[in-house]
Amino acid sequence: MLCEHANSQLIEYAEGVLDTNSQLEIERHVEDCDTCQSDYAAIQQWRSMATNWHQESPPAQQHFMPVAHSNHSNWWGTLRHWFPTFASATALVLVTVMYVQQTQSSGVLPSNTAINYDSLPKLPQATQAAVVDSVLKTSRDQRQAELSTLLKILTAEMNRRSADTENSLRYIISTQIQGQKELDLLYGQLEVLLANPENTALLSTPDEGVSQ
Amino acid sequence: MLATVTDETLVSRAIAGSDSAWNKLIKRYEKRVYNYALRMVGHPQDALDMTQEVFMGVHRNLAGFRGDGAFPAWLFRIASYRCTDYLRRRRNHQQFDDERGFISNLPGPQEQAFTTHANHQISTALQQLPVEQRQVVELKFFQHFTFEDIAGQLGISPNTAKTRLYSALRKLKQHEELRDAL
Repeated sequence: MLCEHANSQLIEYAEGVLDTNSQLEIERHVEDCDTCQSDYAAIQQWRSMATNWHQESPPAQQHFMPVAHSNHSNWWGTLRHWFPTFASATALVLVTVMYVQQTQSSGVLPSNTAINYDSLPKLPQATQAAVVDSVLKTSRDQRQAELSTLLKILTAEMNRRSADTENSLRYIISTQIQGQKELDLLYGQLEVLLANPENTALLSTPDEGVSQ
Repeated sequence: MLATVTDETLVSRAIAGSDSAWNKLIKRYEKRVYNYALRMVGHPQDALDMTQEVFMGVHRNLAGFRGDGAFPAWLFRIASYRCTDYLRRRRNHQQFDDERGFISNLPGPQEQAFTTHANHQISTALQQLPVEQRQVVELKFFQHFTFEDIAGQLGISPNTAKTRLYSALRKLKQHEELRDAL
């Protein structure tokens, strides 16, 4: 019998699952082959060690999936399955809302959303530029800090989660990034306006509020 | 004497909504999966985490068990996938720590974590192997699966499974800890 043929069947030989003739052939080969003898000894050692492994017990207080599931397809099971994703989505929405609130109430512009532009004071052009510059800088600093924190949290979350929830998180994050890009576009328009105060065509707000 | 309820019956009942069947299924396999996890990852806490993930995976995919094969083979297919995923994430954390000069929190298996000296030595020896080889050694010698089963669980061919086993055996032959354990 060729060595490579015998060697590839040493496991089956050790397990005694070959037919009688094959068992005898390999037995004779192993007696004369140092390599197969050595491999066979290693196999037997591991089989012996596996037999002698003392079964360890998980800590007594440990219960795997202790909350019994009442039905595999009911709403509660579905909710439990998707809860981490819902929680992550909620956290992201909250962070986003907080961020938007912070940028809206930066202290430079009025905080109420329904701005009456007619009631705003007419500012000199240099002051307008300073105001816009201040808004942009404040917003960017806040966004940078928020996104930096968000990135750390999400990186840790992504590492903890299973592949199933990773896809959901990726979708949520990509939606957030898309939102940020849209905000970037608006900031870009403000930057252009800051650089060219006479150009008011880019904004849809009343002229009095920004261009005078 | 009452006959033992088969795994397939318990799975069917669990899918139908039986809490009792699900709990019995866990009870039947928790020790086996925990010991598998312990040999694969080397640390009790990690083994607990991994065992939890395995049973969560089983729970989530229970309806996908078609009963065309033995339940343990199906269970360990999920366990193998979870194990690979778990060790990949752990390796990523370790690389993150290494790159930033943090002290690694992943020393070798601690002897006090095992009930016997031999268990500790076996675990230490297994940690010397690449994950792919360790899985085959585990599934062959400790779980007693055929190479066909192992191939199905790991998504490889039976010949590849066998090659990995022999490579692992030759690597482990020279391991001092292992010689002491014999």
